Amino acid sequence: MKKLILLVEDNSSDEKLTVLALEECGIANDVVVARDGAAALDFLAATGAYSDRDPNELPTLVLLDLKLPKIDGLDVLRRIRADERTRLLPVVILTSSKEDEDVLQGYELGANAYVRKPVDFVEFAAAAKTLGLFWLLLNELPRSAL
Amino acid sequence: MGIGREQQVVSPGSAVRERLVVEEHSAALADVVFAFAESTTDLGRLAQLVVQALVGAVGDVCQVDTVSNDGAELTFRAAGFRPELIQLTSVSEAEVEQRFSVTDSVSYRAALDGRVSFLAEASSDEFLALQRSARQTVRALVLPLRCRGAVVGVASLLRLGSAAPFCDGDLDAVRPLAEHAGLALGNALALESARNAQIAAQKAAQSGAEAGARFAKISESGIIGIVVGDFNGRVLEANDALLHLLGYSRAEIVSGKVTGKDLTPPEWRHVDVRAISQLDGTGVAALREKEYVRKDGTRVPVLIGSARIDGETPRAISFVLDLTELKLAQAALEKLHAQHAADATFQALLQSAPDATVIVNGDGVITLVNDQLESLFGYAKSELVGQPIEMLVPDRYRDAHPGHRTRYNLERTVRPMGAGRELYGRRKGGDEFPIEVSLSPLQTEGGLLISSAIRDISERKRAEVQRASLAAIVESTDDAIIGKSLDGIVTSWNEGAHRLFGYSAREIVGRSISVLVPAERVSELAAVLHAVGQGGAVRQFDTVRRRKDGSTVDVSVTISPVRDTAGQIVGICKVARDVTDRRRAEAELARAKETAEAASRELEAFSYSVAHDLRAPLRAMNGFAQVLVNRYKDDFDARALDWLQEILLNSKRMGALIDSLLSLSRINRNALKRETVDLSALVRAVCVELTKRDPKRTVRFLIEEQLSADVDAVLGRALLENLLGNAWKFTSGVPEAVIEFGALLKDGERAFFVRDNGAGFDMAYASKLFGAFQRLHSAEEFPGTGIGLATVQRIVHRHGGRVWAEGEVGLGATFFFCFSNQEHAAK
Repeated sequence: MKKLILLVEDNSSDEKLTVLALEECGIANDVVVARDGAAALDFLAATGAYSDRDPNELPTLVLLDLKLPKIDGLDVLRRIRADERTRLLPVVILTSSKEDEDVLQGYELGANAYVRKPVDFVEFAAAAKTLGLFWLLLNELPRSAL
Repeated sequence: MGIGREQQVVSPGSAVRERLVVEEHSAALADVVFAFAESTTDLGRLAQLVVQALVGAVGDVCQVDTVSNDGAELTFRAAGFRPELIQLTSVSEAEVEQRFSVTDSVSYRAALDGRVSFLAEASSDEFLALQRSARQTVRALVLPLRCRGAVVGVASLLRLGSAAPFCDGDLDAVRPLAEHAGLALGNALALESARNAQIAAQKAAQSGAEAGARFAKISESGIIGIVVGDFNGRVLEANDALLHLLGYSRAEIVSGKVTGKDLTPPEWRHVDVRAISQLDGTGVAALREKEYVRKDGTRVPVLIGSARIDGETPRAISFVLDLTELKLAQAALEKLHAQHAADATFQALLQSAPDATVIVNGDGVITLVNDQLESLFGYAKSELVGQPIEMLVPDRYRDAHPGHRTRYNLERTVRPMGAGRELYGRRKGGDEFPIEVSLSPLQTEGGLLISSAIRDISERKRAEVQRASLAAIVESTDDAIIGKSLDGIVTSWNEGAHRLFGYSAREIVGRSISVLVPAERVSELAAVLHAVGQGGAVRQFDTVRRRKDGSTVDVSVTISPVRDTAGQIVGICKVARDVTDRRRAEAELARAKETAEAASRELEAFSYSVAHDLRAPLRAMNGFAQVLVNRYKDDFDARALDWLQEILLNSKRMGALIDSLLSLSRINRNALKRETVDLSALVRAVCVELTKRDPKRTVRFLIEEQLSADVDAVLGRALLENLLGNAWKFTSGVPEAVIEFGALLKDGERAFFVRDNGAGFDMAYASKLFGAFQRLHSAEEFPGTGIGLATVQRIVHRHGGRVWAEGEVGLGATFFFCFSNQEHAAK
């Protein structure tokens, strides 16, 4: 099964950079981009613009920005965790903020990791590599989650 | 001299009396005068007494001569000298008498005419014939001695050796003595004449002619009254002197209408009876004192000597001497003695008086003072007596004072002096002090005396000033200051209370304080009164009181007991402050704080989003530049690659700036959680990290152990990270870097410090150190954002402390900081 990554990101530059960073470290999974929180939830539930998708085909990993139009990142996370289908989905918060408050809330809502997007692309690439290796290659999820 | 001046003989001696009473308060003089009077019948002894008295007063040698009846002759009576003179001159007594006896001279003659002579050099005065051989300067004072205006004698006073010549002062000194001496001598002379006449009368039986001549002379002298009468009391003859004495005309006396019986008061008739029997027996009646009744009914004391004139019918001649003056003098003396006794009592009273007291006469001359007055004004009695009272009055009031005195002399009431005015006394040194004076008039025979009781009221004045200033403070304060009794009755009420509660003092004093207490607070009042009655105090107690108009007012009251000097609680003092404004201010402050906090939250949200939104484009710039470098390296030449590096570098630098800004804004965001933090341990931990980050460097850390402070642990760490990080950074160019942490006492405050021996700074820029984005070094020298020290300052300020730096270029820097007064050492 092809491992899919859902990138929830409203900033197109950041979107490209994230994809580039993943490429740089050799992660060539399909990356689906949702430009706001609502779109991300639609994708996961195969509703709205994604209603023709198979709802059972969940991404391997969600990279979630916090500051999003319509429904913000933490809300998206809350709904993912509230939904029985997606409750165990690995979600990594990938954001500019490293406010204690955000980090804490993120973990409290069940984020699997919290990564701050560094300005320095080299560092960003290194972080993406670590993330990709861990979540896409090493992490074993419970069978039921897939 | 003195002949034919009968009116002088009988005029009552009012002048003498006045002098005795008013001028002469000297007991010594009184004794002398008394001795004179007692010696009236013994002229020789009297003259001796006079000499002794005069020598004792002013001279070394004195001689007294008396004048004969006709004023033509001088008779030596007595001479004497100061006993010390024998020692001084080492000559014998007899020699002194012999050398300095005075004989008839021009000065003498002048004295007979009533003039006084001062001779500075008696030996050069050929007229003052001194029987002297010593070559000594002799000063002389020759003065007449008078009786009833007539000169009856001459006193010659001599002063020997280098003594000063006689002066007016000496004359003043002997004048009272001389007056009394003259009177006594005059009386004695008259008495002697009477005796002589008596003897002559006796002899008249044998040689009538001689006696007749003498009798005529005596009769004419006018000093002696002479009366001839039969043994039945009928008056046959009387001279003018007697008529004048009795106030009858010759016709009335001689006609037989007035008899000896009529002239003699009943209680004195037995004296006459005895005299007649003596005359019957021996022909001479002993000198006797009796009284005559004058025509006007008044009495006159006389001394009478009588002798029988033998003839067909036995007759008697009597010589009558008016004793009025003598008696008056004696009476005056007795009075004087009584007065002295009274004076002694008075003096004792004066001494025991609580106040300093001075007695002045009607002319304002001080006559008597007590010891208290001496010590109060710093003068000795001798300096005061005889001086005008104005010497005790400050200069500026002196001129007006006699006027006040004169008015008082007319008014003569017992009253305080200068009512309504401030009075001051003047001490000997000239300094002034406030006084209170009570005046009381004393009418005495010697005239008006005023007694002034003077009290030093400096203490009272000081107390008054203090009380006035306290009262002014009480009145001027905005606080209500209320006195009340233990049962809550208002006893005093200041202006502040009037303003605060609306009641005036007149309205509320005497009423219960409960009118101020709203119904729901009545129990509170009782509790407070009880607590204070037990000696407790209530401080800054916030409550509500009711104004006169019924509105309520928020007050903060402090209530404390008022004790008397014995410590007994006698009342309650209540200070109430209107705290309506304070309450309003507190509410406003709370609102302002909320507003500020809201603004702050907004700002935090703003800076949060700014920081985040700023990072995104930076990340894009950096990221795409990096991708270009990574993937298209070969397509760029060296210069293009360098520029791409610039983009990367600058974007990273801006990222760091934003991070710093975020951390700076974070300092104010969270509540300060103070706890005791081991700063020494924290410093060690930070230093370990620094060393790990750059293990190639060799830095010596000197960390004082066991320093701790009450700080927020997170901020404390950030503070030390910044300071130590700076020290680490700025010592990078120093081969033997030393970073020190310690504490010392600065201006009584415990200050911690981080010191390094690095690049240091110019003190001229010290003020710029702590500003955000202020840098003293270029990024090439030492990288940095310029936020670190701003962060340090903000952390210290949040703790209520202060931070400052000392440094010198090339020698290092020291950063001091203290956390208000909360820090403490664990030592």
